[in-house]
Amino acid sequence: MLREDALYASYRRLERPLYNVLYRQLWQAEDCQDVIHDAFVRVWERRAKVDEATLDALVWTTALNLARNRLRWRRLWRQAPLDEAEAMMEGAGDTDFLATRRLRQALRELPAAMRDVLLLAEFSGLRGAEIAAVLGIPAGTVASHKHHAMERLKALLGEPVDA
Amino acid sequence: MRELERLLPELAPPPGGLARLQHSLQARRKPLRPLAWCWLPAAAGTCALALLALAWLPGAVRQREQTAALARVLRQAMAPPPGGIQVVHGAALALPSGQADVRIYLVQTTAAGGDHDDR
Repeated sequence: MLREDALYASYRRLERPLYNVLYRQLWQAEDCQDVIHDAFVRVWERRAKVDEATLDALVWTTALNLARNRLRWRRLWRQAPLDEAEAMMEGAGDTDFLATRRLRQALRELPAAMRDVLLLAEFSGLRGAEIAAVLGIPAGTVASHKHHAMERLKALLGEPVDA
Repeated sequence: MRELERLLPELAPPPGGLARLQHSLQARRKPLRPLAWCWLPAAAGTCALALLALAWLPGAVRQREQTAALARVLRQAMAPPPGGIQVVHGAALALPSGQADVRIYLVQTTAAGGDHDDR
């Protein structure tokens, strides 16, 4: 049985890493906030069956599933996030805007499984086996996915591969 | 230091997320309507049924009374005259009844006065 204070503690722990991972998938701050909020609410609704020991992993899985659903919905309705345009209008430099756009394009070109592994490895603080459990993939593939994703990302962005 | 620190700088989430979650959970804890209002649909249903019953009852009683009155009149009409059937100077003609235990006779007086047709 999940306690309310344990849920809030999990929120404090995970809000920042969740936001960073989700932002690189949704590229829209409000969507990220909504997904994080909805993920915690969904977990709370199932609190009778939630083990606090696996709470963080459950939140990660729920949030990533919700983000995927949102991306599917966007593709269905051909919606595009507005954050890039907003950032430009608010006076962000052209260089920042273009760099963000290139990064976004590069991340989009990565296979979804590799992108998820890369982002979780960068921001979540989870170990390889935990990332594998959250994404439902074999533990052995996490390290190789991460390695290939980093190489491809750097190549797509024109970065030195061994940097 | 993360490997992709420069490419993927760490962003700070917008403030207010935890407060929003706390507010949502509090809203879910509260009953949507006060307890007294929960009885409102049941009470309204009971009242509606009572009104229907009140509207239907007089008609039903009246119909029952009419049926009883008709039955009484029919019983009176079908009852034999006091003292039973008496045929004086009469003749009877047997008619086919269609039932084994029923006999039908056409009774007619042959003299003036006291005309009766009875079965």
